[in-house]
Amino acid sequence: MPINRINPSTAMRSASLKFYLICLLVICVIGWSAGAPSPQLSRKELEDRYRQKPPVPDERDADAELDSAYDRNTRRP
Amino acid sequence: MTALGLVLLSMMGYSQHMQQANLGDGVATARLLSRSDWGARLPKSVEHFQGPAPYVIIHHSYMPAVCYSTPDCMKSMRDMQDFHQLERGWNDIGYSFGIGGDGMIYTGRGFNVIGAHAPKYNDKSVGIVLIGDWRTELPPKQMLDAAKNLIAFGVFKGYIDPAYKLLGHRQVRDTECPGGRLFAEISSWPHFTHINDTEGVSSTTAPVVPHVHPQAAAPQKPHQSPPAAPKV
Repeated sequence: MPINRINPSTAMRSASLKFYLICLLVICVIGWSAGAPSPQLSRKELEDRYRQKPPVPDERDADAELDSAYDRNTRRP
Repeated sequence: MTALGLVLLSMMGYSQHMQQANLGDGVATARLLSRSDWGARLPKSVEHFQGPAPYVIIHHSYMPAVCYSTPDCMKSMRDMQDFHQLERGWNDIGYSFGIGGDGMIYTGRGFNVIGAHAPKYNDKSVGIVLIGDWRTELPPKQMLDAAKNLIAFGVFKGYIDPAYKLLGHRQVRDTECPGGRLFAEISSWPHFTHINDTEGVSSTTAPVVPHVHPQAAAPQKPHQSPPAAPKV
């Protein structure tokens, strides 16, 4: 009865396949997390946040439709 | 129509202090609605600017879409205020006035109040939003007439400079607002002005930022029922 020996080339292909599958899994996880919508605040949470926020002292450069007062420090120039 | 609009608006005794606009007969009260009429939330802060406004800036809401009944238009005003306050964090609805598809004028911040609708113009302009998406469709006649009447009223009362300049939002900001069709319309109105470099602001000929925002979050609690629509 011939002895079954592990073929080095077969072992190499199996290792490569595992590596590629792991890479693919990582890519999928990253893509999913990037595309996942950030949890939206409920209306009550929005109202609470707004209530706690001080008034905007100067709105002369504001555009309420396109800009956010919450991100005012990061607005584009 | 403009003269009639002036008379009707004058009959209401428009007040800078946003009093209930129930003066005059039923027809008069149908023209201009106060903040309390549409159920506005109180502003966090109010800051005024001096003198008649030298600019009138026209906007479209894009969303909410056009409304044709007064209760729906009241809700649209509340939705816009919710978006500007709760989601964007500003002190109040950014516009001075809103115009509904019902032909009514809805008081936003009002005259001589610094707005939040057009950077660098907020302390010298009246911002008027025509509720709806006017990129490809022209607003109905009653909306256009109401906007013209409001401007004429502002001039008559001294809130708007008689030599005012009429602008579209896209002329002062990189945006599609007030929509191509409406912008084409106001371009033919009296006092429409092309801004050039000599005035310090370049006009935008190719806006690249669509005027799009998500629908305001659905309320967890029902609003108190809006006041009955004014008799027309």
